[in-house]
Amino acid sequence: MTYTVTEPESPTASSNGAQWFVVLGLVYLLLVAVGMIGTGFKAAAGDQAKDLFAFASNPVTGVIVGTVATALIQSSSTVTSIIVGLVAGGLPVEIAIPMVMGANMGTTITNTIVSLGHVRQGEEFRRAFAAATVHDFFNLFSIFIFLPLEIMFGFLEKIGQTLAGILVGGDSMAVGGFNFIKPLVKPPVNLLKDVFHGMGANDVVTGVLFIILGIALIFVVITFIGKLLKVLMVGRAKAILHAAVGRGPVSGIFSGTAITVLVQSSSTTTSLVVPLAGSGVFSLKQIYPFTLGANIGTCITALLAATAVDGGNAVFVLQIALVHLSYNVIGVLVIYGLPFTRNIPIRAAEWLADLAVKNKVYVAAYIGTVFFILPLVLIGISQIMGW
Amino acid sequence: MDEVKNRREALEEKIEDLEQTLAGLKAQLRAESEREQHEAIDRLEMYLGDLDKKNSNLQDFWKMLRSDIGELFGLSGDRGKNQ
Repeated sequence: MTYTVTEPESPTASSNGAQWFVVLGLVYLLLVAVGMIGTGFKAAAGDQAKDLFAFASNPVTGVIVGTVATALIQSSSTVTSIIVGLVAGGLPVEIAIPMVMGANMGTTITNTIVSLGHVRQGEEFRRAFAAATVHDFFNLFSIFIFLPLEIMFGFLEKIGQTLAGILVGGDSMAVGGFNFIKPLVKPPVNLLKDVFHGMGANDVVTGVLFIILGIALIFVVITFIGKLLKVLMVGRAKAILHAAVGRGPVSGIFSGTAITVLVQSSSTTTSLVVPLAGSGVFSLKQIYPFTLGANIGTCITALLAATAVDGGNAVFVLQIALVHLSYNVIGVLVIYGLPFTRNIPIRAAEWLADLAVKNKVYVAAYIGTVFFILPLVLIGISQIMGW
Repeated sequence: MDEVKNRREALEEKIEDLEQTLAGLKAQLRAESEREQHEAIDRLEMYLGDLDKKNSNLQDFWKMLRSDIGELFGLSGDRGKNQ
């Protein structure tokens, strides 16, 4: 069947061009912000970066920090960019890996909230809620499988290290030729440093100010990039979705990846499919691979952020960005690739959706437990047990 | 013997016809469902707008939740619905 893609009513070419120029400027600001966090963290913590994050050295705490931070901010791109900045400042990669896993989990709260928009329509809500939580269960399942493996063997850390080594040609101390963006990012960071020093701030104060400003800037920039790209990319996203119709799960994964790369937000992609599933036009089985693609596509932000960093930690920054990508690709290959694990998230989501239709208390209990209560309980247990 | 053979052949022919009809109907159903999917994708802008309604989604959910909690504990369900 052939289908004519109807182009959306788009703004004029000149306003489109202006918006693209703004997006470019925002991406530049994102890179500056990541550079600021890295520089600030180095200045404030010096060689004590590892000690500063000793509280998160327990991997379970790391996952929880990533989950809760992302659930509160509702943007995994923001959290992973901050993590990249912290690694640039000296946060050890082994502490950052569970945080990245947590960021994956935390971002799933957004489409769950979007599915609540269907709460008054029984059957529609059941389908929409299942479409939202299939992503949650996949990411939870992924953590249950890969976190213990990472603790035992450090396999993601090793994969990231190998891939980073390949990309930078074995140069372990600087990203060298790979990094073409750092010369653009460094001048404003240095200028700001000079301004703070000129105002009488010492290294620690300057570092702390850099971290605060960097985090705030990342938050603002990613929010605006998301808003702009949603408008600019809607036509392209529609074309990708039209092309994927009737072509099976692999195409679904690729289209989910492509749309997430275009809009720079996995929660936008996974939230978009909630009403499509809610209306019953797309089945849960058709939506599921698409959400997995969103997990992969969202890794582009960390990879982009990694290009902003120079110095001794640049290779570690690239490593954590590649760990993020590897974790999501391997997750899809293992959980979706194996027939006996593939349907576990679907069955779990359908079971929860059936309960959710019967009583909304189940929904509140689920969101509260997975994103907030369970993390707090686990932190308490880890403190008591002295992990 | 011939009668049995003829009956079998007739049945086989009928099955083949039915299978062809079924395959045709399945293809029609798939085309129809794909057409619906394309139409839904064309409404993507509308769904994008819905992403900004998270607060009202939560408020709506809160009302339903209060009502369901009321029902669960034998309180008046109307109280939650009206607030």
